[in-house]
Amino acid sequence: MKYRAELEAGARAATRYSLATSRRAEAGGARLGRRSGSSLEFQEHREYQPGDDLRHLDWSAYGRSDRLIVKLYREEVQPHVDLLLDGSRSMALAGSAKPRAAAGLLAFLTRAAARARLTAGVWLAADGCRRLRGEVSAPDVLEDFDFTYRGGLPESLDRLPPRFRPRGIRLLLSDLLWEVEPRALLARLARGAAAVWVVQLLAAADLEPESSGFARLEDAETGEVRDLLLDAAAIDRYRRALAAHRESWHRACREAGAVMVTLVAEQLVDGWRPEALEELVRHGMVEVG
Amino acid sequence: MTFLWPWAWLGLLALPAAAAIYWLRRRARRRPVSSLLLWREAPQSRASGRRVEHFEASRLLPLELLILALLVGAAAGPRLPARDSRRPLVVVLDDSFSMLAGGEASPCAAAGAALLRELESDRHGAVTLVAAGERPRVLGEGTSAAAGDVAGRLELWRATSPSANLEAAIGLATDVAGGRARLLVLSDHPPPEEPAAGRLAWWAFGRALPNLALVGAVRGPDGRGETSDGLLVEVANYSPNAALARLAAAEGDGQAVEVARLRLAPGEVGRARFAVPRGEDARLRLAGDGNAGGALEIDDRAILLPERSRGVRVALEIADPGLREQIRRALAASERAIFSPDGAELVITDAAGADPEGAWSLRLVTGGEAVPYLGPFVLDRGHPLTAGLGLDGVIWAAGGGFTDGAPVVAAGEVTLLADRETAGSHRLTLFWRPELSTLQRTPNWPILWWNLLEWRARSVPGVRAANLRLGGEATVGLVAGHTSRRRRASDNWAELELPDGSRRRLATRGGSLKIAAEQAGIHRLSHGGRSDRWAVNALAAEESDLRRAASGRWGGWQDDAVAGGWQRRGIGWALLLLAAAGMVLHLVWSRKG
Repeated sequence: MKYRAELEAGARAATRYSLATSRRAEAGGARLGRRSGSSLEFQEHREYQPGDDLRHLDWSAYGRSDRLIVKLYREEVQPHVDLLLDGSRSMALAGSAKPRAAAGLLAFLTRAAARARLTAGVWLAADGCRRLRGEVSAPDVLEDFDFTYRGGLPESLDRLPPRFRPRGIRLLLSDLLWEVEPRALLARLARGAAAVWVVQLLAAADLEPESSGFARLEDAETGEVRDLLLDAAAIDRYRRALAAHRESWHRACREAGAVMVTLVAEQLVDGWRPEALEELVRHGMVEVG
Repeated sequence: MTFLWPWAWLGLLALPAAAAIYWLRRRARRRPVSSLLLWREAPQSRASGRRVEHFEASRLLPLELLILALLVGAAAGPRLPARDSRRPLVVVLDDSFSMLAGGEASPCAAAGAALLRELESDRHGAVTLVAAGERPRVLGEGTSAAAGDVAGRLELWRATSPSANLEAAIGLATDVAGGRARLLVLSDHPPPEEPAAGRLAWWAFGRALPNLALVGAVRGPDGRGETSDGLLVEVANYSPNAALARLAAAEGDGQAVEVARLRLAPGEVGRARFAVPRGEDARLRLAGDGNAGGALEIDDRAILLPERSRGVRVALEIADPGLREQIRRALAASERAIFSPDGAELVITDAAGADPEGAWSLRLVTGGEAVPYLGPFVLDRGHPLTAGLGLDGVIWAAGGGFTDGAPVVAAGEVTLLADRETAGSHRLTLFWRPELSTLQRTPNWPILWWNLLEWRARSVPGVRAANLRLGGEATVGLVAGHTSRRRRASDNWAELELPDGSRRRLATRGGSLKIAAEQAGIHRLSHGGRSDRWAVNALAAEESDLRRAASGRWGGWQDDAVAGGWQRRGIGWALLLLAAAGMVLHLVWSRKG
């Protein structure tokens, strides 16, 4: 397992945190869904229809009305979070802590979800979205993964979309550094979701590139190179472009009702200190306890 | 190719260094980034982008190296040998009158034709003509090699000089030509020594022709009276055979009559003397028998004009008879004084206030309390009267007196001899007590009077010598008004008529004009209302002797010599031009990049 240590570190960091959700299950951690199901909570009566479960006949109503009436109960829904991990090469930026932070954060979030009695599904967006087998919190049994995909998340979703559980929380863990209209992607993630959370994980070099004279910039995903003079003016232009890019995502998230937080990889892996995780708490994704 | 500064090629060592600097400077550090998405708005560097940098490196670096190599090459001073047949040509033309021998087939005509044929070869650039007379001179203006232009300038070649200083002319030609030009000498005789191969070619077109020539003619008083002049004529036989020379003379416009026959051996010079009326022109004509002809017409004739009297008309207006006799003897000793009270040109008087019109005067002041002066005497050595005077040991007593003339001789502050110029005349004053002086007993005495007469004679208007030889110089004294301050406009010019009928206006400044005798025949100068004549004759034995004339070609132009025809042209300017073009191209490409 390539990122065993980071997974373990992230999982350990989550011992004080749990994923913050809006409804809690009373029993067994289950929550009642809106639809009719097999919970014990009575929802409504309706006329018997062929195929209904006869155990749900309301014999009292039949004795009184000589009509076949069935009782409908609210369905029992198990809380769930689907984590979609961006498996592109940009998440493994050489010389940065981004891959380690991504792995650790993945373990942190899944452990926090478990502590909040949520089930978690982890999807790796690579050449198509596929679910990682095993338990993220148990690196020994977790399927090995790496950030090797040379495309962006939209392409991955198009090739093989993930089978998210309906009405679950969908959490996107990515650096968001690909060219896409965020509204469309968010709308896609939010379809059938209870909530959408976007965790942007950036390396320190993504936030504040060094001014170093002539540099040959190589795109980690596409391999395209671009030679630039990284002077103060160029750095300043990059910062403005990054701010505009993040602002477009924030705006799209607000419009979609999603929550977005940006974390810095180097700060996370530096001991998984609470200060580094404060953003998650402040934005209501995790809570202490 | 040769190089002026080959060590400059060391500059090529800078090329690899420049390439290394270029590569190191342009090389970009590889830096992986998550995405180029946010870098796309940044303008690429001039060496940015894989494809762009490759393109830049493929053209800018080689271009920069090429520019550097061109600059180094230009600094090395490259020179290419380029055969350039069109080099300047300087032609030295023998201007002596022997070039006219043979009439229409003269060396002068043959040389001119040969030169024009040579110019048809179109291997000469600029052509300069230098006439080699007694003093070399450039003929005409311009240096065009066009045959028509050269032919026009050849018409200025008269060949009437009594001698040809070819050496001086070749020196002038060398100075005019510079290092690249070819030199060509056209003459009628061989060079004194074989010219060194390379730049000088000597072409001669002479022919050894028999010639009878007048080589001398003078006119002067014949001593038999004042009604005739005597002529002495020398005739030379420059032929391989004996010849009979017949000399005829015409007086004025009269018919020519034979005055002498001379039988001359080969190379012999004979003389003839005869008289002509004084005041008449004498026109001489020489003819020979069939064995000796006049290969040169110019030396077959001479004109001898009456010479102007060299005497000065002097009037002695001295009251004291002893003093008068003393002065008369001094003047007579010079044999230049013509004592005549009428029309005197010099009046010597002891009277105060003498101011003879049109004549100079010398006033003798012999009275007054005299003081003998032993010197030192102060002499104005620039004054004509002091020429040859040496007053050491002379006692010069003078009584003193007022004079407003400039001191010529003085003893301290005492003026002994003064000169006052007025209206072209001179008023001289001589302070002198003969009984207390030794001046008159020293050689200074006749020298002083000689200087006075010579000076006065020179100042008399008219030509000094009426008969000159070619190459000489006529001196013509101008009318006295020309030297005064009050001059009329017409006094500023004199008109000269030459023997060929041409006329020239000459500006007159000073008391005389000097005019070169360049044409044989009678010259006339009109000035200040008078006209003076003088004759110029071709009397030069060396030029009349055609026995050494020859034809041939010596020397030559060796264009293939290393220091000769191969022109080494510097091409550094071309390399600099290419480098400049490369820099402009570099600038354009850099800006586009």
